[in-house]
Amino acid sequence: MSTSVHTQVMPAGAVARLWTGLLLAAVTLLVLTPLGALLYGSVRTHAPGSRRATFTWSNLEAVYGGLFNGGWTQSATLNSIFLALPVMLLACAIGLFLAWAVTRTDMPGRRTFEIAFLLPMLYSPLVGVIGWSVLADPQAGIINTLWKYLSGAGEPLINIYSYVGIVWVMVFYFIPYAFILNVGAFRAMDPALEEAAAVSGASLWRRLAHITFPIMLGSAAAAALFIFTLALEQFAIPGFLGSHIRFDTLAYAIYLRTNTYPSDLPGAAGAGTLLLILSAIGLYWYRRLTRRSERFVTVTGRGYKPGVTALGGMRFVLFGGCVLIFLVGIAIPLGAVALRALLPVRTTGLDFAALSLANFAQVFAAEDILLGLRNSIYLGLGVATICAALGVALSFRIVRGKSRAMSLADYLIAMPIGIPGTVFGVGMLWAYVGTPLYLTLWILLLAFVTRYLVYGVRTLGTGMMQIDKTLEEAATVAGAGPLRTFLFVNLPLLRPVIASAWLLVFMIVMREISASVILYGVKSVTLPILTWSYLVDGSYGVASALAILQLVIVGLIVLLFRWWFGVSVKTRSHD
Amino acid sequence: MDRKVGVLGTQQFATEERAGQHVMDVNYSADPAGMRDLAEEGFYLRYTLPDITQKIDRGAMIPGLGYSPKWTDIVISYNPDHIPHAQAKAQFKTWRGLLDPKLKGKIGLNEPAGGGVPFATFLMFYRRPEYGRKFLEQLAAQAPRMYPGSAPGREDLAAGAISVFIPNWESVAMIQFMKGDKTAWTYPDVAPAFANTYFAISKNAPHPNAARLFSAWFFTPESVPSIEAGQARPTLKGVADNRAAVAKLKQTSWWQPYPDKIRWVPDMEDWDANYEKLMPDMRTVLGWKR
Repeated sequence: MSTSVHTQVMPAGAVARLWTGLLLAAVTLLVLTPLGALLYGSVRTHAPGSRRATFTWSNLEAVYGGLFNGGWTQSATLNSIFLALPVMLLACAIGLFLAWAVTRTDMPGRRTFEIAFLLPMLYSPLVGVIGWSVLADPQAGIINTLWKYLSGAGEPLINIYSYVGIVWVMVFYFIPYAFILNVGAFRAMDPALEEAAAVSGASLWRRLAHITFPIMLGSAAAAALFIFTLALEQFAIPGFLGSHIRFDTLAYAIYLRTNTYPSDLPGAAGAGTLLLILSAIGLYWYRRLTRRSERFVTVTGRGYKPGVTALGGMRFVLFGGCVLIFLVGIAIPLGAVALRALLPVRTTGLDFAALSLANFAQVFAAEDILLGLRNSIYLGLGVATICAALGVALSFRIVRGKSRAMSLADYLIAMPIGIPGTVFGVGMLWAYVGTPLYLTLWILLLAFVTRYLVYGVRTLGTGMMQIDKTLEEAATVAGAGPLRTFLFVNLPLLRPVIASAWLLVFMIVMREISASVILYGVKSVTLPILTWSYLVDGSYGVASALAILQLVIVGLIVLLFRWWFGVSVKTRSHD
Repeated sequence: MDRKVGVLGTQQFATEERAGQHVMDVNYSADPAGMRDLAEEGFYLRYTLPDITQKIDRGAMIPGLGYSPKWTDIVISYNPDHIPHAQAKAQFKTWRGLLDPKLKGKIGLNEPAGGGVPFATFLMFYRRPEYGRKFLEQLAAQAPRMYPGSAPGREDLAAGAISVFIPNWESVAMIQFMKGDKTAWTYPDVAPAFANTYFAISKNAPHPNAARLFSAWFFTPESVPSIEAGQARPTLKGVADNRAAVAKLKQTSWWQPYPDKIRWVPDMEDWDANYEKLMPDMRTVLGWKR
């Protein structure tokens, strides 16, 4: 019975094949155009198009041979992996825990925390580095100065310029990814199993360990994959903090090849393929982990109320833990950035007399600030909406279709975030320089959709995995066609996850620098590009002021979105 | 005017030209090696500015190709809260002053791959017989902090996290000084001073005459205030130094005008030919694993 109904639920063969074909063609075109240009560039002696460029394997030999013969990629690749693994594990564990605390418990202040934990997504990682340098420099950091003064110790309390320091900064940078990727999934989870376990006498920890977190494995794995991939391609944090301890990562080594002269763009493109392979390995494990999507079904045909776990006195302990994480990981470093924004120049010790609004005045006086703000908002809204819409269509076909073609699409979609943004930007430049899109806002939109579509697909995919197919089958039995079933069954149930995906993409676009720095033109400058320009000029105070301003503006937009969408989130259950 | 200077700007120009997109009139490039490559591909106009050899030093031009309007002067910056001015002036008469054991762990270096300025400085150590590669090894034994760019190094110097930072740009140090930065700088016996950024005109400039006029203007006395606004020293000969920072610095006890005799101009052919070999070696000496 179930099988025959299932056959009717799926779109008719031809329509399904057409859909699959169209989606696959669109994804292939989007992704392979810049990546194809990069692959082509990696086997050229000079940049593509150069009259002196000839075919060569030497770039790839240097990259892959170097892994085994002590070349420039060997220690950098090992460092990248040794950095990405603990960052992934810690950020995922903390992010998952925070998402649970905010969505599934009666902890006080959870709505406020839900916004607060997203704050690091609103500014560039380099701004975070500024904050941590002000706080935790072993010699001059505020925390260490206070520690030495109070304790009389000669050694610093924390050293941000160390392997542990780099992991620390990156973990807090990536926690919001794990948080936002799991919040939607926790929300969509039927609490019936947890309640049944509680009635059977299972303790809170036992319920978490044996029911809640295993069910969340799909979205947790998606978050882990994202963070592993992004930690591999992140060059700014390890680049700035790692130089002191001579800790090169592969992404930073690639960045150097694109930014120092004589530049080596074909070599950088070749090394980009190595990062692609590393992230593809991560994706392979993710797909293995989630290949039986039925294991993650939590939204079924039975009605439920989205309840929370009453923690009793423990809710205050949990509240204290969340406050501590927020203070240590977000508020204090952000306070240090705000302090830097109020200082025209750094001073030895804290000179409160030197505080002024001069950096903010310089930001407001900048001619292109309004243009940058307008462009950033256009891009944020446009890219987030396109990625969420395409994410719904693609994830539906990937999770429900389970065809080889859509598996291929799944791999293709993930490829652009597997390489550093600068290298991806070079690929876009090579691919699109001859088109009318070049130097307009449209090429940035295309680049961001190509690069960040994966966030939409993966977030929506985990949401889709949680919806029981029997709901679609019931709609079909009731006479609804595939489109009607999709619009009136799947889409309403996916609404909180769509909101999460939209927000995630919006926030990432609002702070994107690495690809846009290659592709922007005079009229398509963005807020992050302006911040970057100030950082490169050494105007850390002005960059910090702009980052604070950006945080306020983007934060307000996010709040507005949530306020508007919050009504729908409450009504998403189907009791 | 786009602000994309440096390697990426030059590579972007090259990519545009190869695709037949003639966007840029003037390429203000900080990549002389890349410029030579692109000149061979025929992307730059071969042009000579009128009377340019009388107007600027030969070290500030790539004849027939690029002309630099300002000097990049390298200095040793220090924090006077850690090293008094008089001591710094005496100690850093040569770069060997950095080898003082008291400075162990208190020196900041812009890493060799951090741009043209640090590479030029380390190249000078390699090429000058009184320093050589050995000097870099001795400097590495001082356990310096390494910075990926000069900006974070200057920040840490001002914060007192380090006592000395090299190599710093004098013009940038002057900008910071004008903002109230208390750090100071001094001139050793020899230091790289070179033309770091060049105006070059695209062979296919959409506005070729305007491009020539624009470039030529930077080598007239009228352009000097705009260059000096960034506290840079113009390459144009015979102009008075009217930088606001210089006027203010003259009132300090520690500053002295840039001594021209210390200038060391890197050989760009040596740079081009040996970069690939020297860069990894410099980083290895400074403690990076290959």
